[in-house]
Amino acid sequence: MLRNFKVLMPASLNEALYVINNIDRPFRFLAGGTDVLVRLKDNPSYAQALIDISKIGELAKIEEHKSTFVIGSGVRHEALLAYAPFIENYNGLIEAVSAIGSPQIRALATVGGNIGNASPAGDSIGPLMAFDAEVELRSQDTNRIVKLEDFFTGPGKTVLKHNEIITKIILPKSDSLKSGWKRLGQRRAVAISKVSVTLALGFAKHSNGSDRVNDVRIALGAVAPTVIRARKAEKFLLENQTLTKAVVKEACRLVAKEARPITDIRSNTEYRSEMCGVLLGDLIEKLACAR
Amino acid sequence: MPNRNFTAENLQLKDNIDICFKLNSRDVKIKVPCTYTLLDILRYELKHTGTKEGCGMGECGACTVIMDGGIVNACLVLATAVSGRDIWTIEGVSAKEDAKPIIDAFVAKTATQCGFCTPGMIMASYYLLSKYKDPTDEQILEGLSGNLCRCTGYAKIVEAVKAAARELNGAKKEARDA
Repeated sequence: MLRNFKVLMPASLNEALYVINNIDRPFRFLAGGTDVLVRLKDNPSYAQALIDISKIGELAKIEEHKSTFVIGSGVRHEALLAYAPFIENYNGLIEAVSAIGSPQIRALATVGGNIGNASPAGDSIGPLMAFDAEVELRSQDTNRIVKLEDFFTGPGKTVLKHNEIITKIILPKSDSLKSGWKRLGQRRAVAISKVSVTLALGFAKHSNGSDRVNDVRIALGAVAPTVIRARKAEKFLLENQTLTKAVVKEACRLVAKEARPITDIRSNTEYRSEMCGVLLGDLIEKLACAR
Repeated sequence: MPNRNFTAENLQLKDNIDICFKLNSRDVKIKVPCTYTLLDILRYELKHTGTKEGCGMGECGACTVIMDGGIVNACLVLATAVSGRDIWTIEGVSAKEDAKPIIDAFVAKTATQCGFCTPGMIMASYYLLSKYKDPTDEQILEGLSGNLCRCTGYAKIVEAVKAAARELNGAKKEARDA
């Protein structure tokens, strides 16, 4: 049984911002609770106070704007998976979020929680980063927008200040991108990824009528202290434009070199690096053939 | 008070909390420690012990309950999040007419051995069959992916869910034809 912490229940975002500005002890946010309660069970000193933001309605909305979708940090994974525009145009995001936990966990866990938790293996982060998502961070007096790519500073570490809350995830519209996500894990459900790769590709016609690549985004999960973009492999594919066998092979080699994985209980350095290349190859084939 | 729109109550650190929620269509009002999970409330306060505690960490699904129409792990829902919810446990669901074919199929197909995972499996199956009338193997495996069984090897559980789907669809067809 859990013990030794107190709980605060702000009813609105403003109350929550006031509370975290004034609280006198170390705290954690309780959004979905699927990570926090597990950590507290393992380690009772993980938090002296929980601030339950799970019922703040203004954090739980998805809005469509002219050039962006704005996802409230409290939106649950299940709700994201049911949102029609994402199903239509953000396949990589849908594939990744469908693989998080289990149906029971996706009904509770939130998008903001997966980001705030800052796991290098956080499955929703790769696709969001590939789509150039940003996060809005608010405190009582400030409001700033940070690129998701700049948000993480290490495993479990972010630029979020003690008096800030992640309020929104801003996702640029990208109707022209085809995307996919693949991972390797111990099993298909309730597993932490050993490696995950997100790929998003944009295509255009060459003057000679053949297809060329005009936009490339690659994100790698669980192979560095944070989720990362594989900029060298992206640049290489963009410069070569045509996805010949040799180009794909070289991109896979490059992406394996960009990964900086560690050996831990789930996998080892060599395997993780090599699998980045294998998964990227699979995704290129899938996206190029699916058109 | 920092702002007259704030409710002082919401800004206090709490050890205990009064909560009201619906459990199997009945209203429950109870005071519990804030550190309690929904699972603790069900088992220790309300003595609804059909919901099992396996891992206590959201991996095994033995504590699966229905909350506001979807399945969740009761061990991952803190007391503060229970207020105002509509909760169904195995005690309530097993009394429902449309759950009977599922329970009968689990028995008929020997989909239960030690029985510890069974309440959670029935809850997940019940939810699955409310979503898909005639689920594919893939949908069944995905629907039960949050529930571990260390006895059966799952084959019999999948068979039971399929048999229950046939029975439920047949029963509806008979009702229509009658």
